[in-house]
Formats: sequence, C-alpha cells, structure tokens
Amino acid sequence: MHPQKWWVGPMADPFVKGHWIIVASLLMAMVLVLIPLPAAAPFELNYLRPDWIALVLIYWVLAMPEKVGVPSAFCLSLMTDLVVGTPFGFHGLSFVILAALAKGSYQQVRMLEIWQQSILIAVALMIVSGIQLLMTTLMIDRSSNLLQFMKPITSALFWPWVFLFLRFCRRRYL
Amino acid sequence: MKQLFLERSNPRNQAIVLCLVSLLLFVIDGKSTSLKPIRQAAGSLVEPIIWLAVLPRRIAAQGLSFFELRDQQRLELSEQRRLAETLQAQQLKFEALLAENNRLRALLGSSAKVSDLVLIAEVVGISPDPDQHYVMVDKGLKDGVYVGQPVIDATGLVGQVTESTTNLSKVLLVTDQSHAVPVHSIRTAAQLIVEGTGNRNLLSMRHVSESLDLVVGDVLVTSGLGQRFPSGYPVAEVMAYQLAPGAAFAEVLAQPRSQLQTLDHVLLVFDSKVDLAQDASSKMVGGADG
Repeated sequence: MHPQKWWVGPMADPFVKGHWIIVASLLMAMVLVLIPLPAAAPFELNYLRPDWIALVLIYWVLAMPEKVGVPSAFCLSLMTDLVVGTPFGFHGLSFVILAALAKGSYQQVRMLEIWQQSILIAVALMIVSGIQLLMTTLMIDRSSNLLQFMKPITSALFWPWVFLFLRFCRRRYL
Repeated sequence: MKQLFLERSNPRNQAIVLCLVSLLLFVIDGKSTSLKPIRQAAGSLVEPIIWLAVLPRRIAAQGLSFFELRDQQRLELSEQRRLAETLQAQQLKFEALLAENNRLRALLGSSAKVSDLVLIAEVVGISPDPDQHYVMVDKGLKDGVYVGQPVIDATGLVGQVTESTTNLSKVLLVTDQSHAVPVHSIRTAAQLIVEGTGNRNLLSMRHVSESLDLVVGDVLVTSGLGQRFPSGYPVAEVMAYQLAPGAAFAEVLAQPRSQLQTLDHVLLVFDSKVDLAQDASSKMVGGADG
C-alpha cells in the first residue's frame, strides 16, 4: 500500500472502502475470546488464552494510527466489557493505555522485527494486567488468580500470526 | 504528512481523560447497580456476538447426536422411559406426602408452598474469564426471566440470574467469589451462609462457631431466608471441617451439589408469589419439588 494513503483521516473520508475489515477483525477477536473450550480441556487452560482483542487493537493502531486511536479503543473497551461480562471500564483503562502507547511509538515499533514487537507487547500487556489486578483487588474487592499473568506471554507468542494475518487482510481489502 | 499535525486534540490528553472515565465507570459499575439498565439495553445489541461464539459448540453437540448410532439411541430411549416410569411412581408417593404436609401446615396455620414453576434453559456459553464464574443460558427477558431469579439443575442449586437481555441471561454460579446463599443443614437446621470461593469445586462458610453442630457430610439446603432463593434446594455437602485451637470460628469447606463444570441444561425457578397461572406458557413445566 502506498504510504500516502495512510494519512487520510476518517474525518476526510469516513466511508473509505475497507473500513469494515477493521470492525470485522475486532468482532472476530471477540468471538475468539468468547468461544468456550471443550469441556474435556482442563479448566486452567482458560488462563492461557491470548487476549485477542488487545492484539487486534494494537495491530490497527500501529498500522493506521490516524483511523484507530485512543477514542476508538475506549469504545471498543465498552463493547468488550459487555460481551465478556466485566464491569464497564475494566478493559477501558488497559485498552486506552495500549492504544496511547502504540500511537505514541508506532513509527519506532514498525521498524522492529516481529519478534521484537512480540517482546514489547508482552511487556505492555504485563503492565496492563498488573493494573487490572490492582483495579479488581482494590476497587471491587475480588481476588484474581496470579495465573492470569501468563496471558501476556501467550498473547505475545500469538502476535506474529495475528500480525501476518491482519497485514494480509489490510493489503488485500484496504 | 501534514495532517499528522492537524489533530484536534492531543492523544495524551485524550488518553488521560479516558483513563479517568474508565476508572470512574469501573467503580460505579463494580460497586452499584445503577448502570444495569444501560448494560441490559446495550447487551441486547451485542447478543449476536455471543450467539456467534457459541455456535460451534452447539453445532458440535447437535451433530454428535445426529451421528449417534440408531441402536444406541434406541437403547438410551428405553432407558429414559424406564427412568421416567420410576420417577412417576415416586411422584405418586411425593404427591401424597405433599397433601399430607399441606394438611399439617394448614393445622398449624402457616401457608403452604407447594411447588415452583420452572423453565428449562440450555447453557450456551461459559465465562471466558476463569475468575468469574457464570454461564450464559438461552432464555432472556422475552421468556420472563428476571434478575435475581434462582437457577437450579437436577442435582441442586446452580446460582442466580444477574443480567438478562432479550434472548440470553447470565447466571452467576454459587462458586463465584461474589456469591453467597443462606442455607441450613438438613440434619440440625443450623443456619449458615455459604459463599463462593472462586474455585469451581469449593464453597466456604464464614463465622461457624465451634459450638455449632456441623460435621463432614452434612447436606446444606437453601433456607429461604433473604427471600431470594426458595427454601429446600440442596446447595452443598460439607467436605472439610477444621477448628484451629484458639480460633473463634471453624474453617468449613463444602462441595457444591450440582456439577457446575459440566452444566448442559438448567432450570430457571419462577417466584411462586407471582401469579403464574396466567402467563404459564407451554414451555414451562410445573412441579420441581421445593
């Protein structure tokens, strides 16, 4: 894709062909998060499931920061809270932080190798998991299993595939 | 590149404001029920996503039964028939006992509660977050489901409805950390409150004084106190009782009666105080013993 097209903001042309792929990929991520594991699978496996929505969000902020930014991340978080069943705002803080980080550093991050991006994403997700843990224990008085700190690692392992798949989609449909 | 510098507001400021809004929302929604109406309305809009996510599981379940061997199905059918006959025979005795119970209650002057109306619902989804114990069932506002409605299965209490949208409801399981249910022990009628632990197989009880007569194996049934759950549904069985020397209260763990990991179908219990005679649809089945 020609880089010139990247700077056309949604305000200039809100119905740019291919906006649907962003929405569709985010919906797909939600479905992936919600799909129940087979009953035979050990229950603890649920702690290892990657945070698909955050990965897809990070990809789109990195790829088109002028279209997907902090406000979109916040809207996405409200929808995520609804489908996952967490109180409103639970994903809000983490998605907003992730989007702001990605938006502030997309020029550098794009230059990195995919595995280096994975490491960065693991660190960022680890930080927001810590914030989420603090939020739940301090504010609504629920304890969480520390196994949830495995999530950032599995998410980072899945990042290359998410990245390659979404890049393919973006080049094909946008 | 020019448009980069034409942003209307600084993303950092946006991020800070939205972080604060998130925190505020989180405290409000986590601590109070004031946002429930919004959740309910918006939840109906995102229902299709949940249906899409549970589709593979449902197709798999139905596909499997489709490909089951006919002989096996016939065998199962005859088994089911035999079971139904046995249950019917037991029901005869139960009805007689019920009538007797009612007569005795009438003598005592207390109102009799016969049985609760129930609605069968299929479990379609499971919480993706292992620290939150809930399931999604395929009945919603459309079927008269209400928030706070007790949910049971064939073996005991499952939990209660906490959110309901048009076609789906979220059922909080008794093992969730935020769940508590008033119970009494069948053997001694000792009043207790059973709380969820966040572990799928464990329930706990707080403030069990050492003088309370409670032993391992005691069955705990809902006591009906608090008006949320109808009385008499089995909840749990005491699994471990430990009294540390010098401690004011004993540590008691119990095991939930229903198989919460492998729920397929659950029964939504309708409040018998509500007059259901008029809106009892064909889908409702009467006569869960309660």
